[in-house]
Amino acid sequence: MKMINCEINRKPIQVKEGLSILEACRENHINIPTLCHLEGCEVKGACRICVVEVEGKKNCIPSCVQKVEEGMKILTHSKRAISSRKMTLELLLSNHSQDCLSCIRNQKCELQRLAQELNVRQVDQTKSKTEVHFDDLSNGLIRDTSKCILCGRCVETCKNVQGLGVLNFIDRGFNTKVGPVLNLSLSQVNCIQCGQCILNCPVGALSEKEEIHDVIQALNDPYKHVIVQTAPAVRASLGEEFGLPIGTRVTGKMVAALKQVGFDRVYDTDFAADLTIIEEGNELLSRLSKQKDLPLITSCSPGWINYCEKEYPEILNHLSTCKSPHMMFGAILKSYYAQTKYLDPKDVVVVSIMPCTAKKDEKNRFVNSTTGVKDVDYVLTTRECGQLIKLYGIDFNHLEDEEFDQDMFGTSSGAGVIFGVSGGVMEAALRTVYEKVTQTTLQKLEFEAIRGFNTIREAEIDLNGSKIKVAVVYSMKEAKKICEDIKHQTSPYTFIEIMACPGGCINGGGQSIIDKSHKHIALQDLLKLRASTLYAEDSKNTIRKSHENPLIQLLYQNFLLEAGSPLAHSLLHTHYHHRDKFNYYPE
Amino acid sequence: MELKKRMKARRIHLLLKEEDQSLVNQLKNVLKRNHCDQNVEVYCHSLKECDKSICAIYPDQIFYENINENLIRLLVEIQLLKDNKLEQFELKKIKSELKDKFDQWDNDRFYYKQTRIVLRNSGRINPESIEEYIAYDGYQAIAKVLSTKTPQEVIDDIVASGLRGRGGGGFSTGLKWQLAKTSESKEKYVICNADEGDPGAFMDRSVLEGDPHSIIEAMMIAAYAIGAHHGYIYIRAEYPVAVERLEIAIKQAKEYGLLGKNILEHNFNFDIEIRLGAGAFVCGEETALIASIEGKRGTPKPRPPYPSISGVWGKPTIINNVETLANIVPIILKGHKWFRSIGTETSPGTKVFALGGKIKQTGLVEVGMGITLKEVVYDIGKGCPNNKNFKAMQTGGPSGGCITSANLETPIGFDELVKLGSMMGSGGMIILDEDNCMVDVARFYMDFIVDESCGKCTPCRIGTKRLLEMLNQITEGHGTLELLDEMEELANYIKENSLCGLGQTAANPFLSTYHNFKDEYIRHVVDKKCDSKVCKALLDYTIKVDLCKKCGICARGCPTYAITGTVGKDPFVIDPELCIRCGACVLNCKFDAIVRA
Amino acid sequence: MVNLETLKRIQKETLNQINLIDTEETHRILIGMGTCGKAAGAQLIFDYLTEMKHEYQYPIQICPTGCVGMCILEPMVEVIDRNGQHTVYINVDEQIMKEILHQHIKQNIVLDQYTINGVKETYES
Repeated sequence: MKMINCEINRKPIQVKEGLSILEACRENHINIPTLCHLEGCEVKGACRICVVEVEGKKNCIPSCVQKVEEGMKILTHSKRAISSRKMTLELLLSNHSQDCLSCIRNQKCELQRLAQELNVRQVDQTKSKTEVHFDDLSNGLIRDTSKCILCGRCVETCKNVQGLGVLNFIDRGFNTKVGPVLNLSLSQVNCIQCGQCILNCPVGALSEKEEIHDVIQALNDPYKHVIVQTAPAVRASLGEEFGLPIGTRVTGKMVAALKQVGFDRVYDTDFAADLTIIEEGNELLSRLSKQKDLPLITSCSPGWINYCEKEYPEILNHLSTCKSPHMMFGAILKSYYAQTKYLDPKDVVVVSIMPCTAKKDEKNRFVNSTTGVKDVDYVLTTRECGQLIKLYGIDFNHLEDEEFDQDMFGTSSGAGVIFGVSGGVMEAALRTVYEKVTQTTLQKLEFEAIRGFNTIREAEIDLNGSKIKVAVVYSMKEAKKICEDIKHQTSPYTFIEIMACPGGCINGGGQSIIDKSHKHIALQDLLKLRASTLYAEDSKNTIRKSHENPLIQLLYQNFLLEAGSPLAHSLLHTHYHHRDKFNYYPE
Repeated sequence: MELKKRMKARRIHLLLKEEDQSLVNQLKNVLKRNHCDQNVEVYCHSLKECDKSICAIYPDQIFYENINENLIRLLVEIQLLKDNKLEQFELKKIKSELKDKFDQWDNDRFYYKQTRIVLRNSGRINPESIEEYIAYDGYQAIAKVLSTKTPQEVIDDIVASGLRGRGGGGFSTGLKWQLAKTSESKEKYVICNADEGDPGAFMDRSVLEGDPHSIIEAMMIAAYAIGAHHGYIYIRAEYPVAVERLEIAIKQAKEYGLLGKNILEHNFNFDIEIRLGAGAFVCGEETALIASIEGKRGTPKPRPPYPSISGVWGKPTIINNVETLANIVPIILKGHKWFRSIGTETSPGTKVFALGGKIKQTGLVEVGMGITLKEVVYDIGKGCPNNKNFKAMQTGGPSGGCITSANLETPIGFDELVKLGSMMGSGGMIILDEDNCMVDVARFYMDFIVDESCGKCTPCRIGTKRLLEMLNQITEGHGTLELLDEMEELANYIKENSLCGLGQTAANPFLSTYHNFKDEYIRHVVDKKCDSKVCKALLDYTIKVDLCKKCGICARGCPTYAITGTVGKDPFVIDPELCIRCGACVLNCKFDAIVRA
Repeated sequence: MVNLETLKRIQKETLNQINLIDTEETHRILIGMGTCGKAAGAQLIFDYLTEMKHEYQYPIQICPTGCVGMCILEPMVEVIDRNGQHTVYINVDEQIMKEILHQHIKQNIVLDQYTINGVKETYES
């Protein structure tokens, strides 16, 4: 690798050829602020915050664009560079909402941090502002253009990660806004509510629809029995809301905090994950014997379900009819649990803490015909959970670990925990299906071929002579290829796991947001950190296969009778239907 | 004054020896003294073998020789004003070749001091007939290139000619082609930039409407030089006639096999596609134009990489302006030495200017570089109408700057104009006279920029809007000196931090008018007065008491009831608080009693 | 498909046409049909001329042309005769065109008052 000589802030430095000034400075611990820059995406050079001065050039140069050249003399914090950055920020702030105090990103906002870093002490509020659009019509996301700084990171995310391109720039000049086509609501276009855009938004322009106050109201209602369940991925990210390093395992603290908040029961969604495996495993075997509706595709990612219903309704028959784990849990809680505790299902309130924004949409899909009420009443994201805990004044970092409530649903297997990682559902299912079909014990429980973080991973499993090909896929861009194959009946797979979010739920739209301009962490490293927590919890668990979970066995014995039974079907399974990509009817 | 009305329009053609050149100014002074300068046009000519100075009056076709100061005075007072010939000075027997020369000079006087290369065929041929184009050496250049030159030789010719981009940048065309040729790729593209967004510029339109084949041929030569096989003409949709003519031309070229495969029986394929713009000024910028052709949002991309290396579809691309391309065919046919002989050392060739605004002869003029701005304005443009004084000239559209009368003697050239704080730009030249308010002009251009900004980068999106708001503040009477300092800081910031050329030059209208007419700004801001009487909010309408006949017509016509008084008794008075400065009262008053100040 | 020879042949033939050598037509009439010309009303004149040529067989070559640069003088009509004499008429309307046809084309009488060399009062608009 060729090295180039240059000078940064009057110090001679050698850098690798091909690096931009920004990268070169970061390597040498010089902090140049950025806003529109996003790792892995095309360099835009739009915000002009990262400008530096280069000797010989009369204009200020954006350091994210300009590659270092031999003999270049760079000044990153000269008078002109600093005053230019400050002026850019002041201009942005003059066209920005001033609701910092009541904004969902208060203290977690990149613009706020920059304003403090660049020592902004005066913002002109008398000038005109771009027309504002506020869109809270969808179930999971809120779009507020008064806070948008037009960095374009959400546009890149929706286009490059999901291949959907729901968000785009509209109009031009001072009137530019970011939004769906014709500036419609996200609920009127093919948005799948995955929330990846929120993770990359530096400010509060995109956020989840909060349900904290509904939950608090339920908690304060003496007649309601409020149960909370936590998804596996939450425990790997909740600690970040309290300043702990990325991926710190906080399962015990999380349970303790929720108990302190006052939930009547704190359960682990992993239990329901085990339940899902039993049902889905059974479904796979049934389809295999009938050789019908194969390949089978998992259905626990509501972002993926939204995508399938809108873009590929012709392959809906391939989806597993199983509900996602937390919905199954809600159904069981409002039927079996309510019966056992002599509670009216209408008085049981189920709150799910999820790493997901699409689940806010999912819970509203149907009212359960058997129980007569919704399976899950409220969904809180990991971030909202952190908010709730802070609101109740709980000192999270000093809590003693506690265990989930043990009655009825207190045990979950390691297979359930790994649901939160891309490939986890497939691995959990294979552990059970393999043993069921071959009637032998699996020697190695870790399916290395489907672990890892490539967008698509495949493996061939030998089930008593017959080989089946499985695939694990994340992001809708990758899923599109799978769907096309299935549509044209050229898919070589028997069983496919599809997750909407890159890396699975650990990187879901509801997880803790990382300040991308401040903490420069590559996606792969982020996923590794959070995934390792879940894999560790799996390997430490005494029970590692869903069908070996004694409480699951008890549930079937006492209530559901057997996998795929009529009761199981009515409570734990669902159906899908074609949905319009765009529901906009001009007058 | 009646004399002036009766006097017929005349043209005086002067053929002067070296030593008599100063007589030109004398003649002009005498004309001015006698108030004839508006009706008489003076043309100066020179011939290699000129042994005596001759003066010709047209359309009368009267010739005088031995011109001196005295004769000039008599010429004006007696010949022009009184219509009496000066028998004793008349040149009765003039050589027929000389008379023919004078006749030709008079016939061609509208092309006085012009050198028509780019517009060589406009007005001479039928643009919808490929045969007529061929009649005037059409497609001979590509034939010459294909059979006698290698691609590198073509580029060497263009480099040697010194041709610089006529779209505004002034970048060496030959160098651009060379960079694209050196880039390794099987696919390369030639793009003709016919977006011409500058308000007041219509040179490219005229070339495309009058001589579309020359552009097609030039693109073919460019494609051969760099190794491309496909070309795009990106033309703004607001030019329907030009689009139609181009479509016809391309169709005809295809029919004749001059576009397509194996052109002129050589192993050379080339095809052209027309792409329409959709009303965005920013799409005239190279990278935004490329994005637009690719079907994306028309916003610029940071450079490097330059289009010559990675352009449309990521392949090496050259983008040339229509006018630049129009020069290619003559350079190939007549050689780069010939091209160098026109214009100046650093800016060879000609430039087409679109004269507009407060000037008598509006229209297109093509002049060799090196001619002074003064000659363009006064000799070719014939100066400002209605006896008004020249104030400033805006060149380069909204990205350029204004040039004051102090700098009119500057010869035209790319670098010279940049030194004056302006730029050549595409060639739009708007003349402003004493009735134009420079603050208002800056505001007008700023308004245009704000509307056309693509919105990608912060300085141009928000910065220009703020600058416009501040200019509006000044024209509405709320300016302060501190505001002017703030504006200068903001303008410099926009210039140094914007992503593309549009943004980097967005603040030029303000900066250049501010530096050249600072006192006008100060007058607006401190005294709250607009001397050109343009900024409505700064005008005070008052009724002169001694002239007021107390008829009350003004009060009856006032839309805001701002005028009070009693008919026949008390003089009428305008309340400045209620007055909206519409000017209706001035129009209604039969006694010129109301003044605007 | 043309080659260099064909080009030269077309050139020769068309030049003869343009210069009215051995042609039926006696005059070549150029009408400024750029956007400036059309905006000033040149289309009407063009249509009128075409109609006249077809109805009354005027021996004229009607040639639309581009912008010469003097946009304020449009519609401009240039009449070229067999001897190469150019006459440029400015601010032409249908009436003037009619007179040009009757006098200049038919009888070779140049209408000085309508030409670019005609006597004018002032330049002011």
